[in-house]
Amino acid sequence: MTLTCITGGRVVDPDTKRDGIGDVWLENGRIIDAPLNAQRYEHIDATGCVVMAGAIDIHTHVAGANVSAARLLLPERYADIEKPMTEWTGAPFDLFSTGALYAQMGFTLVVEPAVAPTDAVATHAELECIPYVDRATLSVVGNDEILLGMIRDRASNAAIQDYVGWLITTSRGLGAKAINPGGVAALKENVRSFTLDDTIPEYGVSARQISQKLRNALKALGVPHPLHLHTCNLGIPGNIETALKTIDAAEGEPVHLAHLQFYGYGTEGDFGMSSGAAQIAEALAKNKNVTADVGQVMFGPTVTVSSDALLQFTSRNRASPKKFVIRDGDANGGGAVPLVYKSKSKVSALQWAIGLEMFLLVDDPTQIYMTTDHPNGGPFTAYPDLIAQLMDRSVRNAVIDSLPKEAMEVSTLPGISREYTLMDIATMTRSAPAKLLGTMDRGHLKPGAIADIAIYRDSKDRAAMFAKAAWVLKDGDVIVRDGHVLAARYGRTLSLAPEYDAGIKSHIAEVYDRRWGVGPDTFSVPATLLRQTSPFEVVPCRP
Amino acid sequence: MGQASRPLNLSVDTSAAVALITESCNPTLIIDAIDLAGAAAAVNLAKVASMRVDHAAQDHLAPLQELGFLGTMPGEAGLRADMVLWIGATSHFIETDEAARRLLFDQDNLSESKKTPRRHFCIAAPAQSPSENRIKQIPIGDRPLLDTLGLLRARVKAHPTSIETSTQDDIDAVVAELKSAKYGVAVFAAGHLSFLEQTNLMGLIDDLSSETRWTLLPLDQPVGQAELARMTLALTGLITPLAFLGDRARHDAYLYSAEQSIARGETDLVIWLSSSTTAIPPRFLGAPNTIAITAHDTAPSGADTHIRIGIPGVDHPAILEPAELACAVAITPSQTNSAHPPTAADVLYAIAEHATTQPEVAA
Repeated sequence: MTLTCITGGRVVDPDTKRDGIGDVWLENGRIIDAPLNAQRYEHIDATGCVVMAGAIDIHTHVAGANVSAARLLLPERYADIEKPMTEWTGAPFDLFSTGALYAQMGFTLVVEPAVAPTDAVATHAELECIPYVDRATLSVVGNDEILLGMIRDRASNAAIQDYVGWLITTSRGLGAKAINPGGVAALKENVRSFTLDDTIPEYGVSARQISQKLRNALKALGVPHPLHLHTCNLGIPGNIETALKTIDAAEGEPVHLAHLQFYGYGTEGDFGMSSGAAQIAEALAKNKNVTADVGQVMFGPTVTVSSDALLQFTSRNRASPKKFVIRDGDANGGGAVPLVYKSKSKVSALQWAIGLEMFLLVDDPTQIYMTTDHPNGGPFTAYPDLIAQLMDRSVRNAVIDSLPKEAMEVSTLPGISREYTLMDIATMTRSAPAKLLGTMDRGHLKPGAIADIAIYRDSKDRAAMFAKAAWVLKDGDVIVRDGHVLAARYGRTLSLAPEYDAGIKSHIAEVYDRRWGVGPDTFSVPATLLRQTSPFEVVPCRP
Repeated sequence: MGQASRPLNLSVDTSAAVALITESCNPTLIIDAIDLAGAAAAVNLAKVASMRVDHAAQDHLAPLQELGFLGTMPGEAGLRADMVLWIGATSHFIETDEAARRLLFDQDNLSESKKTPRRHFCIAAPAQSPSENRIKQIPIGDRPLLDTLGLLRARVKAHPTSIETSTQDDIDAVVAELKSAKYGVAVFAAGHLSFLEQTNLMGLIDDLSSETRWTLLPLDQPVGQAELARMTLALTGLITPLAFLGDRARHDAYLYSAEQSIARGETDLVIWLSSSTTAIPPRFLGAPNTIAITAHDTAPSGADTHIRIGIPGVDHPAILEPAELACAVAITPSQTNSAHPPTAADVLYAIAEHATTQPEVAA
């Protein structure tokens, strides 16, 4: 590919601590050192622009059974093409638009974080249809009868490690996620609430034990991304205690807490809910082993999609409109429950404030990541507005002024003066998530990195700036120019191939035969799915 | 990096189909059996040629869209159900569906904690009641199923009814039985229940779930529907029936219904796509022209033009969603033969390379 130089832009790259005007050279899809005596090369004039690596969304529900259920449940939301898309979630659910809208904002990698092994084939087939950006998935484990049975029967750590390795490999995940571990299995026995040390009646196993076993297995397998944990009691006032106990339960080992905003709820205040964000921030400062994405709430109607079937089951009566899809899956299951975050609602307003408090009170931007848990807290297309609220106090104060005073009285947000810098944004959305996922050639602009680059026209209007990049390059090719996507191109799905003892398959075979009458390879994701000849790229595990 | 597509190796002539599609003002693509790649290719063809798209049994999804669903998976039902409630005309499945029998009658697959044998009940008109002697008939007399479901819902919530005391006692006994389930599964065939019966059944299951666990398990998932739904939802955000106007899709359950479009005389070309040897149902015949893309050796009755395609999972590798698993799996045939007919996807992509249609004048 052509030698290219991006010149004159303000390069913001946390890994090299660059923040100043400079050049970025690339060739054959990679960043390179400035060549000596380059004669012929393409030139992108980035004068007046900010140059960053391509952004990474580590937690966005863009494909899979729960997303399909949401699409199926709400066709009326799409029936009128004349209606602006912003009247609903702000993001359409079709995969082409998903890729295009992410690319326009400068994203080059998105992670679908909840793929049940039995749904992996279909999910990867869907992901193959997302253009412009690379994709990855996390394999769901923690409520399946094989793992729970192994923990109950005191299987060796090595056996559990082999099972987790097999599961990630066959479902082509980039890591593993536990979603309300144990809680979903308990729901199948009519348990309606489940916290960290409750045990599943059938197995006598707790969420704490499940998380510990999974953390150990992932570490032993060399999986770069730590356990991605959606812990118990999501969305319930008072769940700050669960969040703090979950952080303690990690015992200093790496763990990533998903959509932590939804766990930042105390019970003080006139309406029985208050902000626990300060306690969370304090806990993160003391526990550098813990990272989290926020799951920021943005106002408007949305549909929650989650494999936390217990949460979805108990939330179904709050559906708006009054319909829902919930199913008991072969492990987690899950569902879709539509709802509305109203700016006039004290609860919704406080949720919004708690999310921003977490962003602003956690000092270390390598510990906290920008997500809306799309579409659960809001659409991913709200990221530019969110960045503006983080970078400009006046922008968020304008929102605060429009919200119920009772909600702001139990939040510290109005008193927080911090404003994110461009370096903070680049760390939170590029450098840190790349490292967290183990994709070491992404998220930075050092020579050797994949030439995934976003170039934004610098503006005080940060929402406008980050909504439409001036240029986006993927593997060195221009895919966005002046905020518009160019001809569609399709990227790769990143996955792992950890080493494990294949002898574990005999145990899996017994369970699969009893359950479905099929063999252990039945749900394995093949190397080719729809039309792409080789959609997968293996990311190395740690030695 | 562009999309590195697998090369087309097409041994069939698609020119007649291309000509018909190009001449058509309002083509309708009706899909029956299909694999996931074929479904994606069908959406692509519909988009480039501004077609309407529908599934042959689309009505099955209407109650789900209207009210939602509180369901379970076949494997989970087999593992956990301590009570199975057979609703309406299910005897066909009990007698012929080996997977359903294995999952729901075979005690061997029950979870270790389920010590008590599974109990089976049935709510159906006597003529529809299954002959399986393990199933206990719930007495409903001459009452229609809809009334029975309504009565059960009322008594689950302890609401008064106008029925006579002795009948109410019978109904209350049934309700008590249903409430005693630890994991109840209501099994039904959507094609044999009315819209109202299905929505009331969903309501009953939701009502029962306020105290115990009850879920639904549909038995008669139409062939190809899951595969098509998966891809239309992913690629357009919409469920069928839908129409492509320009490059955007629109959904309207009535306006774009294939059956209605044909009956109203709006469609001048039907493309019947089925990677099986199912006959074209009479309700989909009647358009001026019909293209059949099927696994038949020769043109099926009613087709003006026929293209033969292979059977997915038999003639070529494919991703399918078998009803007994309710999730997609990749199936590789034990033997591959280069002489086999092309895949639906290959044929549809080949047509799409050449096909455009006259713009639709009026919907």
